[in-house]
Amino acid sequence: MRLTRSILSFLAMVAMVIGLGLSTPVAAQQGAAINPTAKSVTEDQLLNALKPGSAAEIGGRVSIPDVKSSTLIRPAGREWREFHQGTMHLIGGIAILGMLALLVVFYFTRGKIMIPGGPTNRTITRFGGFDRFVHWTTAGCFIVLALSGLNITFGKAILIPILGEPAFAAAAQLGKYAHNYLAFPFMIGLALMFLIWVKDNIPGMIDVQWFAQGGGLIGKGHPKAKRFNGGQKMVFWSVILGGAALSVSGWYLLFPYTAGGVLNLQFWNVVHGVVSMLLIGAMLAHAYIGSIGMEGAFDAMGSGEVDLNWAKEHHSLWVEDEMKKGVVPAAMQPAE
Amino acid sequence: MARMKFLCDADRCIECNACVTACKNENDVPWGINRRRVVTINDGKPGERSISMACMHCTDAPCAAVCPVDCFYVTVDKVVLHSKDLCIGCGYCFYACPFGAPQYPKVGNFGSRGKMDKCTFCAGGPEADLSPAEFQKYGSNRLAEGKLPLCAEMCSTKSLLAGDGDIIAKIYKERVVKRGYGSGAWGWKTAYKETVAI
Amino acid sequence: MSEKKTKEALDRRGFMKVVSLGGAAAAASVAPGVITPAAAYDPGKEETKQRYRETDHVKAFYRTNGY
Repeated sequence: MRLTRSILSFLAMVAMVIGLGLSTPVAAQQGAAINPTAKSVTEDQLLNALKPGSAAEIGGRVSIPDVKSSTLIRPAGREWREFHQGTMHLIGGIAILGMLALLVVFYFTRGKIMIPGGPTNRTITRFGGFDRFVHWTTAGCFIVLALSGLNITFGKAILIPILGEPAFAAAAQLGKYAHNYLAFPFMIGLALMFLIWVKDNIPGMIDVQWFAQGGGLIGKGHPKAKRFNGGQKMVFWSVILGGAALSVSGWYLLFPYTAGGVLNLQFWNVVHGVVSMLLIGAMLAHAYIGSIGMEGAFDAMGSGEVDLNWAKEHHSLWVEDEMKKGVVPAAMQPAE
Repeated sequence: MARMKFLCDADRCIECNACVTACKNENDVPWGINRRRVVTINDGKPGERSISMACMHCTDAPCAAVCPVDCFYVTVDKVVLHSKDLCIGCGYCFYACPFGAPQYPKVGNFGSRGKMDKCTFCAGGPEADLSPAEFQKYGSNRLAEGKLPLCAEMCSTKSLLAGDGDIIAKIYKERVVKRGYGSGAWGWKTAYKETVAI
Repeated sequence: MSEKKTKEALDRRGFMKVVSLGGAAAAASVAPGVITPAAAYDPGKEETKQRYRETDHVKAFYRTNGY
């Protein structure tokens, strides 16, 4: 039953992503608003025939075999350029620097979130080897993809003055290959993460309560949670949905001639850029709370064994379930 | 200082594609790439016109603005050139160009599109003028030889003009005055944010 | 289980935390050392110099196009 629901939600998500594709600008057909008895057609007439503000192309017929070259003028390139050189930098700057600033402020006001009862010597298995393998495969790919992607957007301004153009171009070339090839393990990792964790990530009333109580981030005390709390579900769904959007848009950018024209490529490039900037911002917060932000949190993905007190604080209902299943917390193994 | 421009007199172009062929031959352009092409609009209808189009060497060129590795440079003649040594084949100039000028030697493949290739206004590239390395990567450097792009020089109907923007605009205006009509300087508004008053 | 051993184990994990976050920064700081900054590509002088000249050849082009 739950599985059916999760499959349905996945299909809905896929449909949404495809829906985005259908709404991409379609090249306006030239010729409709042109007076055929005019002595000659001027460029102005054709440009005026295009709807103002909409992305469009003026095309015709070519006698050379390359039909793609039949587009004469594509004024939409200028809007894409403005977006790419302006808005995109703004979104990235706000998402990344803003998130870093927020985390610094949070660290100095809230401090590291400690285990109130203190660590016990008993641990409970939170993530098995496969879970951690999938997590770190995806995470590792994501870090390289994010850095090489940011390099494409911000490297020109930040790194060229340091490295010089030839060294930067060589690095960017390597980055491009890494970006192209690591995209595939990243996509596989995304699919696996979805399959192994979706059943524990279905939002419910308990998450509303979790958010209402500030999730233990704001205020005192920890709200109840099952295997994943409200915040973790948000991370899960932003990774899955954002990752799906990145995968679809990235696929078209990797195979540019399957996208159906430059206007569509511009659209997918915008999707790819905006979603990745937002996801990088979200992942910074995820990395913070999973490491320096909270005592005992890293162990969940590090050794997979979390402290029993930590588990009871953060995932009380999950611990109860595990205990019912007969899982006995082990005495902590000192790391050799 | 002379500002290099192209101007296609669409009322003269007969779509013979000699400019396309001349360009490919003169610059030894790789398979699958046409630095110049002739597009016919309103094909078969009254008002049909053919326009020869290539890189317009824009003022404030979009390709140069979006290039993540900054491989473009503009010469004193205002010709927009690029370095194939720096190009990483990301495709951004291809998205941004209003004239579809940047092209890649590898199509429909995964990962690498190869180095971008486009019209150089027959002005070579960053290598030493008229060196074999320059020819191999970018084609000939006719400007350095004291000549103009071959596409324009060998246009059979003198439709395609190339050279000092002021001079070719004057030539075009005189033509329009003489014959009484003209369809305008194609692409000038987009490329140079100005047009030829006719 | 001694107190000391537990603390040591936690410290190791603390190291992992630093590695996981610092890895990115480390990679970025190593890169300049690996790729030696070659002579800066400077398209300021030779490459961008004026090549167009109004030679007789060019003048002939302008003249014949005026016909």
